[in-house]
Amino acid sequence: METTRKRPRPYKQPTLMTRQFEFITGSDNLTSALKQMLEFINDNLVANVPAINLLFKSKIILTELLTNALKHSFSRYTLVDIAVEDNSIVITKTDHGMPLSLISYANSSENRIPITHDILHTLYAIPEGKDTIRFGCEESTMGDLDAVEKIVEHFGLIIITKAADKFVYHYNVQTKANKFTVTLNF
Amino acid sequence: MIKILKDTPGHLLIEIEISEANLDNSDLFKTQVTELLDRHKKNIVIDFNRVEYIDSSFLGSLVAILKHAMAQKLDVILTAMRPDVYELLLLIRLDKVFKIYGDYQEAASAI
Repeated sequence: METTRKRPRPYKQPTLMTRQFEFITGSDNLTSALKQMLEFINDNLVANVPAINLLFKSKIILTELLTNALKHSFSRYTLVDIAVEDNSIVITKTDHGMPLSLISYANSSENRIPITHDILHTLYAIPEGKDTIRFGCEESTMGDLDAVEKIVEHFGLIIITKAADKFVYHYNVQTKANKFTVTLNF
Repeated sequence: MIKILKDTPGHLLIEIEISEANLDNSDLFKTQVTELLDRHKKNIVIDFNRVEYIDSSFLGSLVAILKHAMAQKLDVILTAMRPDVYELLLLIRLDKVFKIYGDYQEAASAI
Protein backbone atom coordinates (compact mmCIF):
# COMPACT_ATOMS: atom_id res chain seq x y z
CA MET A 1 0.00 0.00 0.00
CA GLU A 2 1.25 3.37 -0.94
CA THR A 3 1.46 5.79 1.87
CA THR A 4 1.66 9.49 1.60
CA ARG A 5 3.61 11.57 3.96
CA LYS A 6 2.74 15.15 4.50
CA ARG A 7 5.58 17.34 3.46
CA PRO A 8 6.34 19.92 6.09
CA ARG A 9 5.18 23.33 5.04
CA PRO A 10 7.95 25.82 4.71
CA TYR A 11 7.74 28.22 7.61
CA LYS A 12 6.35 31.53 6.57
CA GLN A 13 7.13 34.45 8.79
CA PRO A 14 3.84 36.25 9.41
CA THR A 15 3.80 39.83 8.30
CA LEU A 16 3.28 42.07 11.26
CA MET A 17 3.76 45.79 11.13
CA THR A 18 3.08 47.72 14.31
CA ARG A 19 3.33 51.32 15.28
CA GLN A 20 2.38 53.29 18.34
CA PHE A 21 0.86 56.76 18.02
CA GLU A 22 0.67 59.18 20.92
CA PHE A 23 -2.41 61.38 20.86
CA ILE A 24 -2.15 64.33 23.23
CA THR A 25 -5.68 64.82 24.47
CA GLY A 26 -6.95 68.32 24.00
CA SER A 27 -4.17 69.73 21.90
CA ASP A 28 -3.45 67.38 19.05
CA ASN A 29 -5.37 67.89 15.90
CA LEU A 30 -7.63 64.91 15.47
CA THR A 31 -7.63 65.22 11.69
CA SER A 32 -3.85 65.15 11.35
CA ALA A 33 -3.54 62.25 13.83
CA LEU A 34 -6.18 60.35 11.91
CA LYS A 35 -4.38 61.01 8.62
CA GLN A 36 -1.08 59.61 9.96
CA MET A 37 -2.78 56.48 11.29
CA LEU A 38 -4.63 55.80 8.06
CA GLU A 39 -1.43 56.31 6.05
CA PHE A 40 0.30 53.71 8.20
CA ILE A 41 -2.51 51.22 7.62
CA ASN A 42 -2.64 51.93 3.90
CA ASP A 43 1.13 51.61 3.51
CA ASN A 44 1.20 48.22 5.24
CA LEU A 45 -1.83 46.44 3.87
CA VAL A 46 -0.86 43.39 1.88
CA ALA A 47 -1.89 43.15 -1.76
CA ASN A 48 -5.23 41.70 -2.80
CA VAL A 49 -7.23 42.86 0.20
CA PRO A 50 -10.34 45.06 0.03
CA ALA A 51 -8.33 48.17 0.87
CA ILE A 52 -11.05 50.76 0.27
CA ASN A 53 -13.47 49.01 2.58
CA LEU A 54 -10.82 48.39 5.24
CA LEU A 55 -9.67 52.01 5.14
CA PHE A 56 -13.26 53.24 5.41
CA LYS A 57 -13.86 51.05 8.45
CA SER A 58 -10.50 51.98 9.97
CA LYS A 59 -11.30 55.65 9.48
CA ILE A 60 -14.67 55.58 11.22
CA ILE A 61 -13.32 53.40 14.04
CA LEU A 62 -10.28 55.63 14.64
CA THR A 63 -12.44 58.76 14.43
CA GLU A 64 -14.70 57.42 17.16
CA LEU A 65 -11.84 56.20 19.36
CA LEU A 66 -10.10 59.58 19.15
CA THR A 67 -13.34 61.52 19.61
CA ASN A 68 -14.03 59.39 22.66
CA ALA A 69 -10.58 60.28 23.98
CA LEU A 70 -11.34 63.99 23.57
CA LYS A 71 -14.75 63.69 25.22
CA HIS A 72 -14.11 61.33 28.08
CA SER A 73 -10.43 60.80 28.78
CA PHE A 74 -9.01 62.14 32.00
CA SER A 75 -5.44 61.35 31.04
CA ARG A 76 -3.25 63.68 29.03
CA TYR A 77 -2.04 61.02 26.65
CA THR A 78 -3.96 58.50 24.71
CA LEU A 79 -1.93 55.78 23.03
CA VAL A 80 -3.10 54.18 19.83
CA ASP A 81 -1.32 50.99 18.75
CA ILE A 82 -1.98 49.73 15.26
CA ALA A 83 -0.92 46.28 14.07
CA VAL A 84 -1.37 45.36 10.42
CA GLU A 85 -1.09 41.62 9.96
CA ASP A 86 -1.56 39.24 7.05
CA ASN A 87 -5.26 38.90 7.67
CA SER A 88 -6.27 41.48 10.23
CA ILE A 89 -5.87 45.01 11.50
CA VAL A 90 -5.81 45.40 15.27
CA ILE A 91 -6.29 48.87 16.75
CA THR A 92 -5.75 49.33 20.48
CA LYS A 93 -6.51 52.57 22.31
CA THR A 94 -5.12 52.94 25.82
CA ASP A 95 -5.62 55.69 28.36
CA HIS A 96 -5.36 55.85 32.12
CA GLY A 97 -7.97 56.82 34.63
CA MET A 98 -11.22 55.61 36.06
CA PRO A 99 -12.82 52.58 34.39
CA LEU A 100 -16.02 52.83 32.37
CA SER A 101 -19.08 52.01 34.45
CA LEU A 102 -19.73 49.23 31.91
CA ILE A 103 -16.91 47.24 33.48
CA SER A 104 -19.35 46.17 36.21
CA TYR A 105 -20.91 43.88 33.58
CA ALA A 106 -17.66 41.93 33.17
CA ASN A 107 -18.41 39.63 36.05
CA SER A 108 -22.10 39.15 35.28
CA SER A 109 -23.40 35.60 35.02
CA GLU A 110 -25.63 36.60 32.09
CA ASN A 111 -24.54 35.88 28.55
CA ARG A 112 -25.08 39.46 27.52
CA ILE A 113 -26.44 42.60 29.11
CA PRO A 114 -28.26 45.31 27.13
CA ILE A 115 -26.52 48.69 27.37
CA THR A 116 -28.86 50.70 25.16
CA HIS A 117 -31.98 49.84 23.17
CA ASP A 118 -34.03 51.80 20.66
CA ILE A 119 -35.90 51.23 17.38
CA LEU A 120 -32.59 50.96 15.48
CA HIS A 121 -30.31 48.82 17.66
CA THR A 122 -29.68 47.02 20.90
CA LEU A 123 -26.11 47.36 22.10
CA TYR A 124 -24.89 44.61 24.44
CA ALA A 125 -22.01 44.07 26.83
CA ILE A 126 -20.84 40.45 26.68
CA PRO A 127 -18.74 39.31 29.67
CA GLU A 128 -15.35 38.00 28.51
CA GLY A 129 -13.60 37.21 31.75
CA LYS A 130 -11.98 39.30 34.42
CA ASP A 131 -12.54 43.02 33.87
CA THR A 132 -13.20 42.47 30.19
CA ILE A 133 -16.30 42.92 28.07
CA ARG A 134 -16.94 42.54 24.38
CA PHE A 135 -19.49 44.72 22.65
CA GLY A 136 -22.24 43.17 20.55
CA CYS A 137 -25.00 44.78 18.55
CA GLU A 138 -28.30 43.61 17.10
CA GLU A 139 -30.49 45.51 14.71
CA SER A 140 -33.98 46.10 16.09
CA THR A 141 -37.18 45.44 14.22
CA MET A 142 -38.35 48.86 13.11
CA GLY A 143 -41.47 49.79 15.03
CA ASP A 144 -43.52 52.93 15.26
CA LEU A 145 -41.66 55.93 13.90
CA ASP A 146 -43.08 57.93 16.81
CA ALA A 147 -40.38 56.13 18.75
CA VAL A 148 -37.81 58.29 16.96
CA GLU A 149 -37.92 60.50 20.03
CA LYS A 150 -36.40 57.62 21.99
CA ILE A 151 -33.46 57.04 19.66
CA VAL A 152 -30.28 57.11 21.68
CA GLU A 153 -28.18 60.05 20.48
CA HIS A 154 -24.83 58.41 21.27
CA PHE A 155 -23.60 56.45 18.28
CA GLY A 156 -19.89 56.05 19.01
CA LEU A 157 -19.94 52.54 20.50
CA ILE A 158 -22.50 51.35 17.94
CA ILE A 159 -20.41 52.61 15.02
CA ILE A 160 -17.30 50.81 16.28
CA THR A 161 -19.19 47.63 17.17
CA LYS A 162 -20.88 47.40 13.78
CA ALA A 163 -17.79 48.31 11.75
CA ALA A 164 -15.50 45.90 13.62
CA ASP A 165 -15.30 42.12 13.69
CA LYS A 166 -14.45 42.29 17.39
CA PHE A 167 -14.52 45.16 19.88
CA VAL A 168 -13.30 44.53 23.43
CA TYR A 169 -12.89 46.75 26.49
CA HIS A 170 -10.55 45.77 29.31
CA TYR A 171 -9.66 47.61 32.51
CA ASN A 172 -6.40 46.81 34.23
CA VAL A 173 -6.91 47.45 37.91
CA GLN A 174 -3.16 47.51 38.70
CA THR A 175 -2.13 49.99 36.03
CA LYS A 176 -5.51 51.76 35.81
CA ALA A 177 -5.34 51.34 32.06
CA ASN A 178 -8.49 51.47 29.96
CA LYS A 179 -7.83 49.42 26.86
CA PHE A 180 -10.14 49.27 23.83
CA THR A 181 -9.14 46.68 21.24
CA VAL A 182 -10.77 46.66 17.82
CA THR A 183 -10.12 43.90 15.27
CA LEU A 184 -10.89 44.01 11.57
CA ASN A 185 -10.46 40.71 9.75
CA PHE A 186 -9.97 40.27 6.03
CA MET B 1 -21.58 76.87 9.84
CA ILE B 2 -24.85 76.86 7.89
CA LYS B 3 -26.15 79.03 5.08
CA ILE B 4 -29.75 79.38 3.90
CA LEU B 5 -29.75 78.73 0.16
CA LYS B 6 -33.48 78.81 -0.47
CA ASP B 7 -36.60 79.82 1.43
CA THR B 8 -39.78 78.42 -0.13
CA PRO B 9 -43.32 78.35 1.33
CA GLY B 10 -42.85 74.68 2.26
CA HIS B 11 -39.25 74.36 3.26
CA LEU B 12 -35.86 75.89 3.84
CA LEU B 13 -32.80 74.61 1.98
CA ILE B 14 -29.65 75.02 4.03
CA GLU B 15 -26.06 74.06 3.32
CA ILE B 16 -23.50 72.91 5.86
CA GLU B 17 -20.44 75.05 5.17
CA ILE B 18 -17.83 72.89 6.87
CA SER B 19 -15.97 69.82 5.60
CA GLU B 20 -15.41 68.12 8.96
CA ALA B 21 -18.68 67.65 10.81
CA ASN B 22 -17.50 66.63 14.25
CA LEU B 23 -17.37 67.22 17.99
CA ASP B 24 -16.00 70.76 17.47
CA ASN B 25 -19.10 72.00 15.70
CA SER B 26 -21.93 69.57 16.48
CA ASP B 27 -23.46 71.62 19.32
CA LEU B 28 -23.42 74.84 17.32
CA PHE B 29 -25.00 73.06 14.36
CA LYS B 30 -27.79 71.73 16.55
CA THR B 31 -28.44 75.16 18.05
CA GLN B 32 -28.53 76.91 14.69
CA VAL B 33 -30.83 74.43 12.98
CA THR B 34 -33.27 74.17 15.89
CA GLU B 35 -33.47 77.98 15.91
CA LEU B 36 -34.35 77.89 12.22
CA LEU B 37 -37.07 75.33 12.88
CA ASP B 38 -38.51 77.44 15.69
CA ARG B 39 -38.37 80.67 13.69
CA HIS B 40 -39.58 79.50 10.28
CA LYS B 41 -41.81 76.54 11.20
CA LYS B 42 -40.91 74.82 7.93
CA ASN B 43 -39.36 71.54 6.87
CA ILE B 44 -35.61 71.77 6.47
CA VAL B 45 -33.59 70.27 3.64
CA ILE B 46 -29.91 69.96 4.55
CA ASP B 47 -27.31 69.94 1.76
CA PHE B 48 -24.23 67.90 2.78
CA ASN B 49 -22.16 68.36 -0.37
CA ARG B 50 -19.28 70.05 1.47
CA VAL B 51 -19.11 67.52 4.31
CA GLU B 52 -16.20 65.12 3.82
CA TYR B 53 -16.54 63.26 7.07
CA ILE B 54 -18.94 63.09 9.96
CA ASP B 55 -18.60 61.67 13.46
CA SER B 56 -20.97 60.30 16.07
CA SER B 57 -21.30 63.67 17.83
CA PHE B 58 -22.60 65.33 14.69
CA LEU B 59 -24.89 62.37 13.95
CA GLY B 60 -26.26 62.74 17.48
CA SER B 61 -27.01 66.40 16.74
CA LEU B 62 -28.77 65.45 13.52
CA VAL B 63 -31.03 63.04 15.41
CA ALA B 64 -31.72 65.67 18.09
CA ILE B 65 -32.72 68.10 15.32
CA LEU B 66 -35.04 65.50 13.78
CA LYS B 67 -36.71 64.91 17.15
CA HIS B 68 -37.17 68.67 17.56
CA ALA B 69 -38.70 68.91 14.08
CA MET B 70 -41.03 65.94 14.55
CA ALA B 71 -42.33 67.40 17.80
CA GLN B 72 -43.52 70.34 15.66
CA LYS B 73 -44.88 68.05 12.91
CA LEU B 74 -42.00 69.10 10.67
CA ASP B 75 -39.37 67.06 8.87
CA VAL B 76 -35.62 67.15 8.21
CA ILE B 77 -34.46 65.90 4.82
CA LEU B 78 -30.85 65.13 3.91
CA THR B 79 -29.34 65.57 0.43
CA ALA B 80 -26.09 65.47 -1.54
CA MET B 81 -24.10 63.23 0.79
CA ARG B 82 -20.68 61.99 -0.23
CA PRO B 83 -20.37 58.19 -0.37
CA ASP B 84 -18.41 57.81 2.91
CA VAL B 85 -20.88 59.96 4.82
CA TYR B 86 -23.84 58.09 3.32
CA GLU B 87 -22.21 54.71 4.09
CA LEU B 88 -21.85 55.68 7.73
CA LEU B 89 -25.52 56.66 7.96
CA LEU B 90 -26.45 53.32 6.40
CA LEU B 91 -24.23 51.47 8.88
CA ILE B 92 -26.14 52.88 11.84
CA ARG B 93 -29.49 52.70 10.02
CA LEU B 94 -30.28 56.39 10.07
CA ASP B 95 -31.69 55.91 6.57
CA LYS B 96 -34.65 54.30 8.38
CA VAL B 97 -35.62 57.57 10.05
CA PHE B 98 -34.33 60.29 7.69
CA LYS B 99 -35.47 60.89 4.12
CA ILE B 100 -32.26 60.99 2.09
CA TYR B 101 -32.02 62.15 -1.53
CA GLY B 102 -29.19 62.39 -4.01
CA ASP B 103 -29.65 66.11 -4.64
CA TYR B 104 -31.93 69.02 -3.91
CA GLN B 105 -34.01 68.66 -7.08
CA GLU B 106 -34.85 65.09 -6.17
CA ALA B 107 -35.72 66.12 -2.61
CA ALA B 108 -37.82 69.11 -3.70
CA SER B 109 -39.93 67.01 -6.03
CA ALA B 110 -40.53 64.39 -3.35
CA ILE B 111 -41.53 66.59 -0.42
